[in-house]
Amino acid sequence: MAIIDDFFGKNTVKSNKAKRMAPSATSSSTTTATNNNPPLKKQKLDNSNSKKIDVVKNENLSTNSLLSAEDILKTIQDADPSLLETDPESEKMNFFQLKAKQSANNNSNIGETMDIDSIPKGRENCLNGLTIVFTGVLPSLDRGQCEQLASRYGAKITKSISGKTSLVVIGTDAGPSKVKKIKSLGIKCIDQQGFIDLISKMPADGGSGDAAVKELAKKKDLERKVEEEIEEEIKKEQEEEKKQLKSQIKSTSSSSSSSSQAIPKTVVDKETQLWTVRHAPTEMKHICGNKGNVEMLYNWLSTWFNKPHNMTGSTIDDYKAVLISGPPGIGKTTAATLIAKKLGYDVIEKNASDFRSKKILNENLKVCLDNTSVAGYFHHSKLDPEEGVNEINNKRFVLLMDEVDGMSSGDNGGVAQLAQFCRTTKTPMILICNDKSLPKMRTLDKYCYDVGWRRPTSREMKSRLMSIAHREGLKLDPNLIDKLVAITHNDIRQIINIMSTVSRTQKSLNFDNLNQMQDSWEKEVSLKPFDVVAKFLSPNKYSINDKISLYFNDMDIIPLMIHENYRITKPSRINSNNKLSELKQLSKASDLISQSDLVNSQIRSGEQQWSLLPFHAIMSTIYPSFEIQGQITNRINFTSWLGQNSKKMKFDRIVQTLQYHTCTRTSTNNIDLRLDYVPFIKDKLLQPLLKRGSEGIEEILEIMDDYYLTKEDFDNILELSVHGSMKYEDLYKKIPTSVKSGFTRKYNSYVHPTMIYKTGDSVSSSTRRDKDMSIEDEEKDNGDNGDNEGDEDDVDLKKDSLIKEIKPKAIKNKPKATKSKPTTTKSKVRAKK
Amino acid sequence: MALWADKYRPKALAKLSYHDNITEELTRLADSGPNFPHLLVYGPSGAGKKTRIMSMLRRLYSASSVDNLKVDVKTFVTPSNRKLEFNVISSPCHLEITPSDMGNNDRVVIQDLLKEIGQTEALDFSGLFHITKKDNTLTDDESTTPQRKFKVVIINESEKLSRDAQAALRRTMEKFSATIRLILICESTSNIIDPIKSRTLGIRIGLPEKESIRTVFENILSNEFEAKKSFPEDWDDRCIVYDHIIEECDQNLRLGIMMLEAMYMNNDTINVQTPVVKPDWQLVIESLAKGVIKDRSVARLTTCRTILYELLSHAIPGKLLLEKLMFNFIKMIDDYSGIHHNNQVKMDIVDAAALFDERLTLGSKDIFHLEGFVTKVMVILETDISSQ
Repeated sequence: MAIIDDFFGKNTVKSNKAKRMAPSATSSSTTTATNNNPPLKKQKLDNSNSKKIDVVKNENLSTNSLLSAEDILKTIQDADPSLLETDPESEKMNFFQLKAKQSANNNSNIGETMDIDSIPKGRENCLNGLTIVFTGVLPSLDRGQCEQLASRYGAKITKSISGKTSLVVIGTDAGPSKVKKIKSLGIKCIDQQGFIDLISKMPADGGSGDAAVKELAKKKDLERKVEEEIEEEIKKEQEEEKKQLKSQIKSTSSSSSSSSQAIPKTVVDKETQLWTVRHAPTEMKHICGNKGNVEMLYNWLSTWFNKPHNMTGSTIDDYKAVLISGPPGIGKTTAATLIAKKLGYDVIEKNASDFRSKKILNENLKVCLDNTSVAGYFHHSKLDPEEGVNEINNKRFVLLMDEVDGMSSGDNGGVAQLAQFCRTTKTPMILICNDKSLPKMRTLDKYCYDVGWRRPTSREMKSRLMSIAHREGLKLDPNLIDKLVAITHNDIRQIINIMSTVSRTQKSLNFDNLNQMQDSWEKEVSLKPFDVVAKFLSPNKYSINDKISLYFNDMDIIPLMIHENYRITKPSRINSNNKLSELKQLSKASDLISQSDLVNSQIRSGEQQWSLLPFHAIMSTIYPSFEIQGQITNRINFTSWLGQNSKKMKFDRIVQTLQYHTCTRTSTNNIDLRLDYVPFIKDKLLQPLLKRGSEGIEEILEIMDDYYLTKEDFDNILELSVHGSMKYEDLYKKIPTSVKSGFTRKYNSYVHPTMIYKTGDSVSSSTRRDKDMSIEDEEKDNGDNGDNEGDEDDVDLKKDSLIKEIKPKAIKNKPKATKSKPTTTKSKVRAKK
Repeated sequence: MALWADKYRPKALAKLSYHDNITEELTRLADSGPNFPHLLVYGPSGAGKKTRIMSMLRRLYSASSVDNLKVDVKTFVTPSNRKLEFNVISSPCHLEITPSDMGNNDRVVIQDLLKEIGQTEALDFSGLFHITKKDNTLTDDESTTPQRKFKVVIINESEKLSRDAQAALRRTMEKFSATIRLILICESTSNIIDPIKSRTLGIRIGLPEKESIRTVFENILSNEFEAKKSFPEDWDDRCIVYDHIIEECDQNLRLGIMMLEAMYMNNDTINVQTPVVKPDWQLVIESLAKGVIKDRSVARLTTCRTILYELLSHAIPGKLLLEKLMFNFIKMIDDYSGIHHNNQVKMDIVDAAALFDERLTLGSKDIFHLEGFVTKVMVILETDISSQ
């Protein structure tokens, strides 16, 4: 499951959507762009080697001679100094309050937002070498747009101000700490207009400033590196091909296990291979990101057979199996296979396409793992005949279980069996899954070392992607990679697939044709409820259909989350700080939520009107959040309804049990028992202990037996009382522990009458005895209520004497003689039965 | 050592202390023998419905067999093959069930259990029983219990029966009328479908008069000599104490007796000023209402939610919460000085309560509606207070 954690990625997507909504603007801008600098583009397209930069530079020199960024910045007016003045109040406020205030100020400006395309086009790469910080709220551009703009022209954007920052674009309500830093470092500040001027004035490639030149050199470096890599790879590939040809001549048969490995063997089909397969990494350093994990895994695997694996420690070397978890498309399987292959292990891979039930795992895999007795045999038999025999690892293999979370209901007991394997295996095991938080993965937790695979960042992917593009002859704008990464949520596999798709029709991938194809590429991700709720509660401009689809991300939890959190905003629909209007707004929302419950019960109760779901979306989520949307002033909490509901169920069950136990005495129903009896019987049970200490125990036990209450019921009655926000003293805690333990001891010292006998409830002999007694007790109760003289039969008398005899003895704690007596009576009872 | 409420529960029709006309009617019904009708007994809780029914059964059969109670756990299998356990209180001559325990599966209980009982004729072994027990204490009158052909089935909380279950009941009532007599107990008949109402004899048992409650209290105290000492000597003073209790318990006799006993347990001497011991949930609701009237703000709503959740989760029904809250608001508004139009505000609050009461019935998540109500009340109060 992919998660949106890339805030800016989403932002750019959003702004691009806005852009696409005004098609006329887009088309005009693209035309201006092409008119502005067609020669530059041509150059770039045609030249892919290092020569290009020189050419571009020459071009620059001819058009914009000798201007550096500093020179141009000087021509731009400083930002209004008032922007640098901080509100002394705001320094005291916390983050949320500050945000709330900003949005309050913001509201007056809403509506004059500027389309990004109306900004005049700058020259290619013109902000190169500049490090820009955006702070505060710009009058007509939003943050995402600015950043997109700046990165498009090659600027580096940072969040915090430091000595390296070359300029700050400042808006209203800049953070006080940032303003302080700006002042102390004396950094050039410009406002929005200044920023736009800057873009239009700057020469291509950032002019002749030091920073720009350095940056350019860096980029050149990067490109050179990429090219070197490419060359190296091509060379290697050729060698590989030669080798392959040779080996194919030698032996036409190839082993079955090696066919599962990605690249080299099937060179003939190279044209038909997917790019993701064709360009799968063949070297450890080609794996993008997760360097630490890769290294750790490599070390673990290389020393696997020398380690004891006692499963107790916390380091990876203590475990026999490793569980790699992470979102799709970030190279988990690739890395695992590559590492195993590099170490010369043979890989047995099982994935979701295989049946992996307990039975099949036992049949097919157990022999491979459980080779204690025949270890030597396997050492010799499990050889890979293809590769060098002298390496010891070749005799060994790695079990790679891919897509573990894909073990479905069809794979009966598979996960449990796998966990079993992890414990006993004699070969290394690597397990791969997407989401290790799933309940069924929990069984594996104990036996596997968990390696979280992170999404590779765009920086980590850049050179690899560039080299792939180069080898495939696709022109890829380096500045575009960030954007691709954002669209796909760091899914490198998807980026390669996108490139592959584009290459079918186009020769280059750049900002202009990106937008047209973005819709189909934009990865569908399901959002976490927290993100969705944040979207709903903060001011937004989603259409109602967008909102409905947000609701359907998780239609069970989101309405509950909205209910939980609808009070944490400062509604922006009301301007004044009036308490009444705020309450009114809240009341509207809570009224709607309350109404939505009626819809919900139509859907989920006997009616099953599932077609009402969109209506429920509006009533429970969209309309209420529309009423109160505003700045979020507090943390978004997870819904407490679920917990409270299960608590309610628990207490309902407790009341039910109490009712069952006492029903013959009280003749009430559950509710009245809770309302009328529980508060007072609690008093009745506690007062004797409080007032008379251990002397009161007798009395309490009498009451409890009278009402057929067990010790458990006693505790439950105490637990059932409510206190709200009132002060109270816990009476039970005031009872001295000695009395309490005396009470428990006393309670356990004899068998109590019970009202209910459940068939097959429990099999222990003690409860069976209980049952016998309860029946007798009932018989005893029959004729007379309360007083038990007269009509009891023999057994009943004994029973009664049993109870009465132990009591005094238990108090006095007399030893042997007393103990023998009850047991004999008990055995008599049993004999009689 | 039972609670007073159980200890002094009348066992025979002759000993019932109020609603004499109903007692007389029940006596005649019990004596009517084979013509005993199906009954629908309704009335608020704490009025003495169950006490009267049990007294009547003791007359209809014999005290010894009616009080010969046991609890059985029966297992049922739902159409969806789930096994359900269900507790049945039974004596040789009657059965007591609470089908609402089963939630939505109550229909299965009604269908299976009643048919099972209906298809077997009741055998009364009470005569046999007396012989083996060599019982001398029983009077001649009781030992010659009239043999009844039918068993009585008491259905508790019948207003909570689902529509399906009630529909299942209506035919059963006629078909097995030879072997079964039903006594439905509920608080209000509004949820009972008409076909059932028409097949039963309705008996309403209202709350006792204040005077009767005083008599009951006095009666209890005259038996509890120890306790009587701590209550005021003077009859008038005692009456004032009783009246305090009666006011707090809303004439719910059971609750009243509980309060009386709690008062005695918590105080050594009781005088006119001694506060009445209220159940915990009432205190919490009162403090909640007080808080809302004093402070109408978003922050208060948050604490309200916590308290409401606590009450709901501790098995206090949402409907009762709403009702008590409303009455507390109405009572407290008069004491709160900031409100200009007392009557208008009260009407608005009752209006809102009615609205949310309906939603509580139709919906499933009580907290949503209670919170809606509290928020609404805040708006009503704030509107009035800030209006000038």
